[in-house]
Order: sequence, then C-alpha cells, then structure tokens
Amino acid sequence: MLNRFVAATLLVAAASLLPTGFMSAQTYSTPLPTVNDKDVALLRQDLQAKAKQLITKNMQLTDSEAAAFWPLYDQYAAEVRKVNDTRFGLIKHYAQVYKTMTAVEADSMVKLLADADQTIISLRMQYLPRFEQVLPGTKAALFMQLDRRLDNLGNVQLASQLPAIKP
Amino acid sequence: MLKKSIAALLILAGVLLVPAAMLAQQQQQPAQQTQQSSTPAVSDQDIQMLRADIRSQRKQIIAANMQLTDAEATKFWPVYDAYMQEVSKNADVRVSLIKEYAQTYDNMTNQQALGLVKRWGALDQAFTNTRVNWMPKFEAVLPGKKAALFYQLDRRLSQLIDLQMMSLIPLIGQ
Repeated sequence: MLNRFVAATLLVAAASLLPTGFMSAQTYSTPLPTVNDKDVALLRQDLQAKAKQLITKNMQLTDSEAAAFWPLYDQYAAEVRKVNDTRFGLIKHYAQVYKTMTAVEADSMVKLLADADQTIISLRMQYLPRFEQVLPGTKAALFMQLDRRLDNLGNVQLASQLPAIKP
Repeated sequence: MLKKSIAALLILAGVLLVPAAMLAQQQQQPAQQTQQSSTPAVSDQDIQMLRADIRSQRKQIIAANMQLTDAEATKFWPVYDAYMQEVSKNADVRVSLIKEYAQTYDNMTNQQALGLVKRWGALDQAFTNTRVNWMPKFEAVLPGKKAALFYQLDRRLSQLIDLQMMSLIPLIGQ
C-alpha cells in the first residue's frame, strides 16, 4: 500500500513530463497575453473568491473555528496579495519588454520572481503558528496544504500563459 | 472518504489549463478514483527507476529549449548535473516524507500533521534557496538570457512536477 501510494505519485509526475506536453505549449512563439489591468484585477478577484470557497469546502470548520480562522486568513491573504502584486507586476513588465529584453532585464526579472517565491514560503511558515493557535493541529496543517497547492496551481497556470524567454 | 479526496485532487490537477473551471468542482468524482487503486505495488527500486526517468525527461526538455551551442553545452551540462545532485537530495527527503505521510495518514495526530507540513515547508525553503544559490554558477557558464531561461524552465518544471505529485496525495483528514 505504501509503495503503491508513492509509486502512483511518481508515475503521474513522470507522465506529466513528456516533451510533447507541458513545454511544447510554452514555445517562444506562444502569444503574449493581451489583457488589460482591469481584466487582471477581475481575474485575481475571481481566483481569490474561488480559493476561499475551496478552503471553506475542504476545511469543514465549526462555527467557533470559523469565527477565529477567517479574520486571520484575511490578514494572511492580504500579505500574500502583496507578493502576488509583485508577481503580476513582473508579468506585465515581462510582456512589455519581451521582444527587446536584455540580459540584465531577464536576470533581474528571474531574481525578483525568486524573491517572491521565497517570500511566499516564508510567509506560510511565519503564519503557521498563528493558525495553530486558532485551529486544531490537523486543520491548521490542512490549511497549509491547501494554500500551498493553490499557490502552486496559480503559478503553473500563469506560466502556461507566457512564452519562455527567447535566448 | 480517502478516495473522495484523491478524486478531488485529481480534478484539481485536471483543471490546470482551464481557468474558467479552476477550483470550481473538486469533489465527488468517482470515475477518477480508480487511478490510485489500480496502480500496482512497486519496490523502492521501481521508485528509483521512475525518478531516474523523470530526471532524464527533465534534462531532455531543458536541452530542447535551451538551444545551446557546443561550447555552451560543454560548460553547462556539468554544472547542471551537479545542480541536479543537490536537487535530488531534496527529492530524497520528499519521498521519505510522502512515505511517512502514507504510514501515518489513517491515524494522524495533530502533532504529526503539523510536523509534516513544517518539514515540507522547510524543504520548500531549502529547494528555493538552492535554486537561487546556483544562479551565479549558471550565469558564469551561460550568456545572461540563457541563464535566465534556464531558471525559468527549471522553476516551471519543478512546479509542474510538484503539482502532479500533490494531485495524488490525499489531503489531511479527508
């Protein structure tokens, strides 16, 4: 059972990496997104609302847990939103300079993206003890699991919409 | 209940490229539930082989996208291989955490759950730090834009692999 559990995980990971799949959808000719700031704001609002719905469905909080959890969640989500502001700003800049991007610009953008990734992980670890204070351990851990998966999902989805840097 | 949450996560992965459907319907999909139960039992050796296959395909994708000259390739691949050795150490710990998660899943205590997510978070931090720490080494052997492209590809592939892995791991307590 144990090995089957791990093997299933790895099998799917292997299957996902077929060259005809993921990366072929991200060639240099992938068109740049043409949405405006208002579209992006609406999309982000929609994703935030859906993330909240998903957390609600999966957490199955009691009334007293919910009363303590949601204010803290909103505070955490506001911190995460600041990091995502940086990520979306980077995407906008990436689209603007894509065709004429210099080595310095490319380097700067990937470093800022790396900073954003590190900040998100740090935020999650900083907030975990606070969620532990308002939820039973398994529920606090479940929230972190969900939050991590949602962030990863958003990142993969965003990346799928952008062409790779043209060397 | 366990199967239900596996199905939910499979759907979560399945909607990756469908923004409108993202996260909307993640529960109650019995048709998806057979994927784990039909997977044959395998040994640690099989797991090692699968991981080697993932590494090989990752390398092929990097090679196909980087368009390295012969001179660049000569310098790049030894650094890449050394980098991947570091990444593999992190992955070894992830596999052992997944095993521990599976072993404790049915009767997981609050302390075990918190301990696992904290260790997972520490692994995420270590992996992201590894990637950042290696950037100057790639910049030393590649032109700036190609080094940035490598970072971009590596990040995307890592996130995709992680997402696919997580799609088969049931959520805590479900």
